[in-house]
Amino acid sequence: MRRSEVKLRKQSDKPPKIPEYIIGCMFPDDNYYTTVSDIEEDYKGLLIEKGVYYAKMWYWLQVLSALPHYFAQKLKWSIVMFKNYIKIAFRNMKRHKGYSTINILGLATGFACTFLIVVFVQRELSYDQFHSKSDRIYRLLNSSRKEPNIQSALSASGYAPRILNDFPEVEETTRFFINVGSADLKYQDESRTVNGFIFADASMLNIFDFPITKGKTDSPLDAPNSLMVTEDTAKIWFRNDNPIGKSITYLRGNLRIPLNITAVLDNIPSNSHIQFNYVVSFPTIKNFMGENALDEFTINNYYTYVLLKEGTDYRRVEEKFPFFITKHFDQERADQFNLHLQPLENIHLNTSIKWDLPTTGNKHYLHIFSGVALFVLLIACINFINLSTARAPLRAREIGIRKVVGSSRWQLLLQLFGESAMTSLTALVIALLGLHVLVHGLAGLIGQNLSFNLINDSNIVIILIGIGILAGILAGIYPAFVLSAYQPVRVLKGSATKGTRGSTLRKALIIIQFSLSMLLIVSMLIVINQINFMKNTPLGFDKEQVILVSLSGSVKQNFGVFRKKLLDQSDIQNVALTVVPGRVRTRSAYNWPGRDGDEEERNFYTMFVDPRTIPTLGMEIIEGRNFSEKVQTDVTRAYILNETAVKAIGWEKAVGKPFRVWDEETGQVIGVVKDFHFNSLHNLIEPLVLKIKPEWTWNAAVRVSAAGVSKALQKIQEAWRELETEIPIKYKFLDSDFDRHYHSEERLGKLFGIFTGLAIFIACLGLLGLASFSTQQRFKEIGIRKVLGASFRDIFTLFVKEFSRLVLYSLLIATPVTYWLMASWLGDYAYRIRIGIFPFIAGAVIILTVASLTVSSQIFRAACANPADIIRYE
Amino acid sequence: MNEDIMKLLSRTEEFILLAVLFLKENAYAVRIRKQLKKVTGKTWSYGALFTSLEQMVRKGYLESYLTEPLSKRGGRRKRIYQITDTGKDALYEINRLEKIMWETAFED
Repeated sequence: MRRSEVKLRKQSDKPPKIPEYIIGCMFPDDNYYTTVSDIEEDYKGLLIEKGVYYAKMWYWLQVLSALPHYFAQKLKWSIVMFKNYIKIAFRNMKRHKGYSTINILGLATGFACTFLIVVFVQRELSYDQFHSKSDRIYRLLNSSRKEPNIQSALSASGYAPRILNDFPEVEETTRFFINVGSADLKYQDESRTVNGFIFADASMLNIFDFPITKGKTDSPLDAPNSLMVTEDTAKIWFRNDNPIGKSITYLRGNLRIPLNITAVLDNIPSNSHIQFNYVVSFPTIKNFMGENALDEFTINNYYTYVLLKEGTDYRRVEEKFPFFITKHFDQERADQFNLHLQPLENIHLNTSIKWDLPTTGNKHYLHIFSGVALFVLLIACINFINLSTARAPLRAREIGIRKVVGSSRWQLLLQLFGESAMTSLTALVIALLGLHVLVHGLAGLIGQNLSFNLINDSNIVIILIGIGILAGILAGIYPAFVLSAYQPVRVLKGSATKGTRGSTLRKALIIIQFSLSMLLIVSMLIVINQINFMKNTPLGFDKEQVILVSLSGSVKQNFGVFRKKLLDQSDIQNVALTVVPGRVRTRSAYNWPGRDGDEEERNFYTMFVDPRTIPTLGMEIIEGRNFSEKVQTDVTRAYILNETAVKAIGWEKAVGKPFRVWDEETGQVIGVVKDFHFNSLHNLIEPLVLKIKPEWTWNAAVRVSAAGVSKALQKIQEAWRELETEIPIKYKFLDSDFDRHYHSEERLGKLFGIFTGLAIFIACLGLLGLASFSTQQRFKEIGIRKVLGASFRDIFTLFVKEFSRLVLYSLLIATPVTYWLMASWLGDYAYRIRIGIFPFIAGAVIILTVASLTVSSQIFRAACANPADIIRYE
Repeated sequence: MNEDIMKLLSRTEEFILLAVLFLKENAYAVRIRKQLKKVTGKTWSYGALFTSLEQMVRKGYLESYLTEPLSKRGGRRKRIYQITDTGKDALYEINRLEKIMWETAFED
């Protein structure tokens, strides 16, 4: 009866599957079957005696109770093996010191480069993120309906209060007046020329997070003539005294505006796009911009920021701007322009906005640098892979023995992989330490203070370590697979060690390495060429030996006297009160009678000059005459156009044509000046109008003779001191002032130089390792060749050929890629070099030279060796 | 195995060896376990039993061989254990030492 029951329910009576599977894991050999059947025998007995549940429980218990011991055993042996792996890894490193050094050094250099760029990129991306409301802050932009793609960051002062009033979605608005340049300040008897002097609405503290450290925390900017300074600035003026309540005088032209310090701010984080050291309450600008300045629409001179309420889509607000505009402007004006909002986080890396603040970064360069970082890292990893696989045969015997003794492939993989990990971790540590040095060393090059601290910036350190480990894994995985795949029989017989297996891949990797190096070198040369081209192209005026003096109110009032004093000194050839090329910003509307009698109107750049500008700057009149001090009407009603302007208007002969700026009486064109680059070579020469306007001109351009620069400077300072007692003199040279437009290119060139150098260094390290390895492998071959009569030169060329072929291939690959990349980079420049063949030849020569020098040191040793020694060694 | 470093049998090992000896041709895990239970009155887990059996095979006290596939066991084989000469020596040795220890302990 019972037996039949058991048979009937056979399916459910079967022993449980899971414990059976566990037994299978514990006994990988044929003991498994006997074990299972033993336990099953007992199980069946129990099944009959005590029933299914008891039997199953018993089965489970038997298996589970064995697990602790099983795992303890496993762990014990893993630890034993692990100790062995570590020991072997250290022995290997010690035995092959050269290779280990090359490996670690190459990887560490690669890591350090990459990390540096990551720190830089991360910093660029972190701009303005520190404001707690950063996702709700927007900047007001405006664009003309005619040119909707050109958006300008400057807006008039009237918008902020009306936007706050009209839009329920807007929580707060604020205005900044930043266009001051430097300012002259005076405290007691001490006067200084300072930078970062701005004006702002009190509400800016509600929008931005600029914490107050001392003084009035409650509306410190409300009252006119209030001033907040940053910590560092307060130290400069007052050292350790309490700055609160002190009064500093702002000297502007003839005005003396007293400012009371109400609060001290924390230093502005360097990743803020608004940078300042002094911020003055907004109403104070009435003193020099007039009573109406705070609320009007004619002067676009301010940066307006808007804080939206939480959950507001800024596009919704933007959609309502046209209605806002029609509400506040008459139809004619409203049709001319539109308003936009720019998210705060987009401000720093957007270069397309006109009149943006000078802290703007360049997204383009961010991409370039990220690419370079990737290349350098790739080169370093390739090195690692190449060296490890090339030397794999040396370890083949160890692998073979391990396999014979019973190591599984998985275990070997782990071991080899662990060794790679050790190397890359060592490199990682070195790189992180090196980064400290690099960050400070390169701060000047990158153009900003990249404060970086291993402990403080734990986030970025985690990212860096992540990159390091990832690269280590990628670089370590291939060699581990190659090595662990050796077949013990072949290895122990000795046949696998001679194999050239994987050498194709190694060669391919070397080609990639050198292609990347080539790409970097050639790009660097092209960037440098472009920079030199921009600096040396004839500009249509002479930028050398011109000193620019920015005038104070009293010097300007007495400019005639100042000029006369300067001209007394024989080294000073000419002095002009003028706006200089590189600083031409103003655009005005001009009118002239068109062909069909209607009046035409166009916007042209305007450069304010005086009669001496053209001779002082060395420009050339090609038609008509220059302004003259003797002709009265020249001051108000005479215009000189450049060739491009004449062409744009369509005149055949420009001189004598009636012409006027929109709000003035009609005058006439008196001359045409030859085209000159009044802006940097990034831009095409546009139509330009020269006009006398002393009241808007605050610079004196002083042409001095080549030999007398220092004497001239002395004279200028002397003359300044006679006319100006309060404000110290500020001067610079026109050439460097003009070339500041090329700073970012220069920085790019320098960085390219550094990273190219490092990339080549790493690539050569790898080549060195490979060359020394391959010559070692072929020592016997060299010996035999020599015995058979090969000369030193024969052997030398044999090896050099082999390596130079690889380098040549990489040149072939790199050339088109580089050409394409650099052509697209140069596309941004209105005036650019033709790429030509020279940078490619130069790059090829550099790479070939460096590579063959590296390789030949090794080959030289081999080729010089005495064949008798080599062949005898067995 | 070298006499000098030959370790003394543990009590577990001694019992298992004796059980194997007693069971002769029939010494496979199930029977060994039953025999042990009968004598000691305690339940032995298979985990402990297999560990000791395998250890003694490695030490050379036991040998094992597989039987022909048995239809009773669903076509699977049994692993039969046999004591070796080394195993027997070890048993005699532990027995001898035990006797001496007992005798010296009660001698006065």
